[in-house]
Amino acid sequence: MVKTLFTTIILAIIFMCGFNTNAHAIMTGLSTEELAKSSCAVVTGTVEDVKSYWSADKKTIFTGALIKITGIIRGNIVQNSITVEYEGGEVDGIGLKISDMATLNKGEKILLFLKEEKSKREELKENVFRIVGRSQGKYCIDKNGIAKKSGFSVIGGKEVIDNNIPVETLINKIKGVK
Amino acid sequence: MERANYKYIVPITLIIVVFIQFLCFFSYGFEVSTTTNGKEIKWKKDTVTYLINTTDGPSGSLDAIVASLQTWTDVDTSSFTFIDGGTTSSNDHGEADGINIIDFGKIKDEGVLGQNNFWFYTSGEMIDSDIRFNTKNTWSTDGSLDKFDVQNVCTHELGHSLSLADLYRDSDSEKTMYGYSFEGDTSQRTLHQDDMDGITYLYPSTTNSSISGTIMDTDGTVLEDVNVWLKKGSKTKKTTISDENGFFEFTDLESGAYKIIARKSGYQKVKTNVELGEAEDKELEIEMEEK
Repeated sequence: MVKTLFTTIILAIIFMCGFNTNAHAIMTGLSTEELAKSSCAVVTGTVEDVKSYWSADKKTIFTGALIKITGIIRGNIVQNSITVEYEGGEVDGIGLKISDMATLNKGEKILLFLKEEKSKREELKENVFRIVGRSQGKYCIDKNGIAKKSGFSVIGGKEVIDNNIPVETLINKIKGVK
Repeated sequence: MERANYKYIVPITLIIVVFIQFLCFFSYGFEVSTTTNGKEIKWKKDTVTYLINTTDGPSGSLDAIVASLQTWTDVDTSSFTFIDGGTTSSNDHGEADGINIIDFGKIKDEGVLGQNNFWFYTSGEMIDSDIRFNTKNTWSTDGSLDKFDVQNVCTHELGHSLSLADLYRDSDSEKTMYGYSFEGDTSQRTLHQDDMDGITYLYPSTTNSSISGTIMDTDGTVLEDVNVWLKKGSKTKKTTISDENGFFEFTDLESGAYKIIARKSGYQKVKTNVELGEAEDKELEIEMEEK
């Protein structure tokens, strides 16, 4: 009885405190269906490495994250690993943050909605991927298998956003998008 | 015995829950952006100028943006001042050129309404911030229900310029930094106490500066009984009257941008802009011309 009571209280405390996010934003809410339809691929994976670099004209900073793919939910990706590129990051003692832009951190288990495009690094010949819908297109999967996303703010469409849901439910929903 | 213990457990745990909720409230009333090493990002100076380009924006955009700048400046407990640097034709959004610009233009990514690119040293010092409204969306300045409100979004984005981050809990819904809004929403034009606590935490008001001066006519004769107003933004902070030596003084001021207005019957009104640094004692000589 006492144990149950304390468990309930601890869960209530976690719920009340919410979880800490730290990014910027103004977007419109994108549903799972919209994200899937805008993507050429949706994958699960692990962030293996992250590196930031200057653009060729030195006017902006990009970050490339090496993702080890653990599952392909949608699209055709033949590689075991891919590079996801986004604007922003820190290099040479200078940093750039951009509203809503998803950032990837080494070791994260993730589900990403992706679009293939040419890299901003001129020396990189092969294509890279960018996350569709910025932070809305990135889910972190926690140890309990719950897919969560944060780091964006929206005007309208809050109700269509799938968040804090079991990853299997999310995957099934993505697979169901025609 | 067990029942007796249970009798105490319930109120004690309730007290603990309320206490922790209280702590959570104050811990998460606002969020500050950090570098990857966890250093809080903020401007070194507490006066930041924005140039404004309203080309492709709706009518009234300039007034709406200036009102947003003023909203944050008007927080009494903070020394921070956003300065309206006037209009520009530049669209150099996102460059680390030390020129802060608010403009309207296209943003490629899906679903993005507005964007704030800010640059910082990894020591935590912010050095540049540019805000863009995406012209793929329809904007208004009159709170139209089917359009996005310029002042609402701008006030929110300027919060990011201060280094305040988005908030997502339902209990944050009244705040300017709440991450969710809707078309026609104008509630974020006005700051919540937690938004004000955020800017105050980052840029606290330090009241160790002063402005004093002597008021004379064009012949160099000191003027007594001149009404002197000290304004910060649109707010009158203090008033005084010059003494028999034409002397006036405002003490216990925080740093920031001020305006001194001197008025006396029979003389033309004089307005003087003053940039006051921290722990600075600024002395002025004000000359008033007869009507």
